Amino acid sequence: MKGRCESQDYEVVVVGGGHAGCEAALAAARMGCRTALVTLNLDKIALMPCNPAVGGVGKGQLTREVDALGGEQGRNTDRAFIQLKMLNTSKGPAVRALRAQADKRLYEDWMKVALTTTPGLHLVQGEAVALDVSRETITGLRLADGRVLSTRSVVLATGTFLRGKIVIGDRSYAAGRVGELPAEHLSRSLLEAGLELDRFQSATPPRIDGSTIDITKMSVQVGDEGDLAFSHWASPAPRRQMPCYLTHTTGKTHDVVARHLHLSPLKSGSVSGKGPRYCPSIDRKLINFPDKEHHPVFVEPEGITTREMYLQGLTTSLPVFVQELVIRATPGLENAKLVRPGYAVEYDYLPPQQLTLGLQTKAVEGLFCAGQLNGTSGYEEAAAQGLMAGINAARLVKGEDPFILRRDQAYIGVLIDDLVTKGVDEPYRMFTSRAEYRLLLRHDNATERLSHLGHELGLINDSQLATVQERQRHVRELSEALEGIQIRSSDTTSRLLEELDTSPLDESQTAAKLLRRPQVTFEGLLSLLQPEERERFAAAPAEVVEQLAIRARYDGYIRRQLAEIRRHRATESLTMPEEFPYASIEGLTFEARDKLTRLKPATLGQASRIPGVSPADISVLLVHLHRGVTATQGAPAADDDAETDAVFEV
Amino acid sequence: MTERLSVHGPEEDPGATVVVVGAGVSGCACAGRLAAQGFHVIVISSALDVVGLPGYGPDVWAGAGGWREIASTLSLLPKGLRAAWLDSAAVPESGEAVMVVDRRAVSIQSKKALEDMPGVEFRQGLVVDVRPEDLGEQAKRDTVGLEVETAFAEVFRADAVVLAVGLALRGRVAVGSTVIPGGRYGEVPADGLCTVLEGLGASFEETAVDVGPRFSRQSPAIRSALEPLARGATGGKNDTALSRGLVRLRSVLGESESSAMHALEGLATVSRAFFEASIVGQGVEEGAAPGIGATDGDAWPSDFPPAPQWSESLRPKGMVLPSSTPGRASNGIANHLSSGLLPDGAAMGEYYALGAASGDLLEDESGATRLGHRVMASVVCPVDPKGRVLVGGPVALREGLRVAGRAAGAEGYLESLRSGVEVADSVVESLRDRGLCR
Repeated sequence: MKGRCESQDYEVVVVGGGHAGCEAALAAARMGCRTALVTLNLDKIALMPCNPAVGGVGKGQLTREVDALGGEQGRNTDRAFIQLKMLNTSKGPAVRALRAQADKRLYEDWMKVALTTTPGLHLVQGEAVALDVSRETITGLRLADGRVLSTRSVVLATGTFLRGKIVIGDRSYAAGRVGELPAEHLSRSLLEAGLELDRFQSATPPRIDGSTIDITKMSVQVGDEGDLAFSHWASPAPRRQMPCYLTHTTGKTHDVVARHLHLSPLKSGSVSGKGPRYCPSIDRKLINFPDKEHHPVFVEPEGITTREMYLQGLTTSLPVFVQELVIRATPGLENAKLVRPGYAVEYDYLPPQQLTLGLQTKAVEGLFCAGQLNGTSGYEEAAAQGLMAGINAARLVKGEDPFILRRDQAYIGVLIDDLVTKGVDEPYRMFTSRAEYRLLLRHDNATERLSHLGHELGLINDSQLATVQERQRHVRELSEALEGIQIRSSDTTSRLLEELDTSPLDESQTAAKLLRRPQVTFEGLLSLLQPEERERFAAAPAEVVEQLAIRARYDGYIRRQLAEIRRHRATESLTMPEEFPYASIEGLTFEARDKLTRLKPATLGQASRIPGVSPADISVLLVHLHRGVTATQGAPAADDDAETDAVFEV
Repeated sequence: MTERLSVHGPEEDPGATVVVVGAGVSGCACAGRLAAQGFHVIVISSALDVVGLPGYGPDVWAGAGGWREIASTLSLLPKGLRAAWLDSAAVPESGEAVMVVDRRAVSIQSKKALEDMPGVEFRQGLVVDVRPEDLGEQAKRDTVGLEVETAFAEVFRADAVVLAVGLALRGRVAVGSTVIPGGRYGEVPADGLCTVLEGLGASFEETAVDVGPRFSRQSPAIRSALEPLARGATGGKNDTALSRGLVRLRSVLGESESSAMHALEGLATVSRAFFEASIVGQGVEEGAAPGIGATDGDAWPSDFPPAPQWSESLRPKGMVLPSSTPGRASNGIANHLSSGLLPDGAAMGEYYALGAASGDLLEDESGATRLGHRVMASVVCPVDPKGRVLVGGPVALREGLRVAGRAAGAEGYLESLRSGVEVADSVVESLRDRGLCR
């Protein structure tokens, strides 16, 4: 009956209803494109198949950036969290980040509400089996049921479903997630389109019945009180929070693992894909860190309406009987009942060097990829890529240049540049250490960095932008005021400073300078001001105060990073012509020639980060660029310096 | 080999243990009924994220018995499960005996209700084998138990096993021009169990369930169909506003059906008390005094993050019931409108169209979020009303193995619920006969 099925016209079709797919579909639809989201099972939208948590150091910054650009992850987390916490409050602002425990079911439900109430977004249950490609350009997507969705762009966000296989011990069966059918056909279509695929592996820890744990042997981890939120745009409804519990593995736990290590799929070879180094299984931890006596195990609630709890730190795909021994050898879990065994999943991923910085495949125009398919792990990494792929699919349809974030603008920029330039040899996870400008890419200034861009894209509305601009204006105004206020050396001042545990003034100093002292908190500074000035500053909202304090304290470091960015910008923004004749350029090493030809970097900066391309190779390229081929200024705007300075207000 | 198996032996569980395979509508009913009588129940399912989910449409039709049938069926369930269905239900004000449930809410509450019952244990797993217990060299016991093995080499020992696997036995889904495996859309079927049942001498009949297409609540056709209802102007019998299930049941059954009504009234529905347990159970201080009493579904406690199912603005406002004279309009989903259009839950944002699900694509399904499809599967036969497979096989299996719900031929949710309960009762009877009740 195929003939009776008329093709349906879309501009953007997203494949996958997970954390990448949802962001991609929402972004494209909000940018005005007729969008379809195709998923195998509409009852499993935005499922959290692993950790029931969003955020963390590095990842939380990504979620904040997604939110600042008009994405959904932050807002949705605010709707569904049962615990929220600011991490690293005792450390510098660059590594502070939010982390939330979410009620899994609520997270799915609210994301579904967001999808079903977005105009122009159509949900389609079905299995995508093949891409229609004509002259290296996407024309449509075929579903197993015979439907053909005609479209100008496709965003693939298939997670672990491409030829997914789940493994415990020496047993395995074909599944995208436990109990769910994998996508068996789409891989072939990708290979036929000239793309390469490889295998990766990921794993999830066991879940236990929370009523069978002994919390007296664990420490209680509670959330932060107060009005924290992931999203910049709405305050979450107040709520009671649920605690997590912390225990740790012991020698006993390790003995059990060691005795059964020969049964691990990692050892027996029944898992062939490469797994995540930074989210290692307990078997892997013991192989890699044999001397460590304890590994932390966080016991985290999966929701309000379930007793299931997640054992962060005990990821394993050892046989189930070993899992039970491991759990019971861990303090507080002696009587814990296993509900879901941990398991590994192996799946096809697309080595991301095949993508442009806009997340489009170089081989097929209109084909975008996002999330775990690109070799990453984590809901935050997935959402960030999904948002960018959705934006760029929409921009392609509209005939606009791709939207690319630089490494000095956002963690999202770091993430995508790392993926497409360096590739991955294990599932990629974000860390603050991956960002060279992390003092600028803070959790607290995501809107200042990105919301004006979100506004240009059509994802941030006028009033949202006005809020951000008003806050920036306020910070600027108070910041300037602090520069102008002189604190005189006097007995009163000396006494107050002494109370703050810092040395008295020899001569008068600006309030701004005083705030640079680590001991001088904003509240402390207020006590040094004249009454009318004090009133003016005391009225400032908390987020403005935070910015004032960070700016004052880290001014020197921030200036240094900005100078560095400016220095690098010369090479960073030099566009490499797409058909640059690398093969015929003398002086390049063989390796550099090969990699440059394959990767076709967009800029000289990107070229410089390709593994195997040396500074000498870059000098050679620089000479050639200046000599024959004229280097044209590309996507990054010519007034980058001015723009950066404006955002960071230097 | 045995070293690699995770064996859950009798030393852990002094009382009788029943394994229920499948956590759908009948599996949950069966497990709840058994646990209410003090048995240790292990519910094994590969779909723990959708425990208790009514897997097909949102419509719960009464048979000839009308509302009384709905009330009497629900009254067989333990309190929490009853609440899961009733509290999630909306019913037409026209009085037709049908409950339209928020499937998602039924699922969330069913899982919660069972977790709160002592003796119930959930385990994620795909069951591949059920066999008589291997006692090996050990002394013979009077009664031989059963072993249930999963795809991940776990073995559970049980005194009785209930297969409540719905349409997963050789399940296939015919959708559009193709047939894909699955007992429900997108889920792995349980084919290994057919071999087990064949060993018992069971044979199979084919069954099929037609699942209607679903449409977005945002689609223009749905909006225009429902617009009069949103205004409160109900035209006639075929389009009707919704009221909450319990209110409707109360008014229909009145005083006359006091026993059924009493049982139903007893449910605290989604009161604070219902959810309090989970937080208190986690060792957090008890908050304000629990609010008790039937809430008719408005009381997702205010100090939890809000849930769409309990959000007034997202609650579906109306439905269209089947008309006896189906109209033949040419545009869009009109054909489906004529056969009925039911809301599929607050978070779903979809409307479920009754009727046509031929397996072929219909022109008017082009705007569907889910195509109509036909789920085909094997149903065990013959099975007696107690869920026993009547022929052949080892005594232990003949005694201890039961089949419940759709896999035993039940049709519709109410029959599945009743089957789950009846099979549970027959399991209890047989355990008693075998002297296995404490």
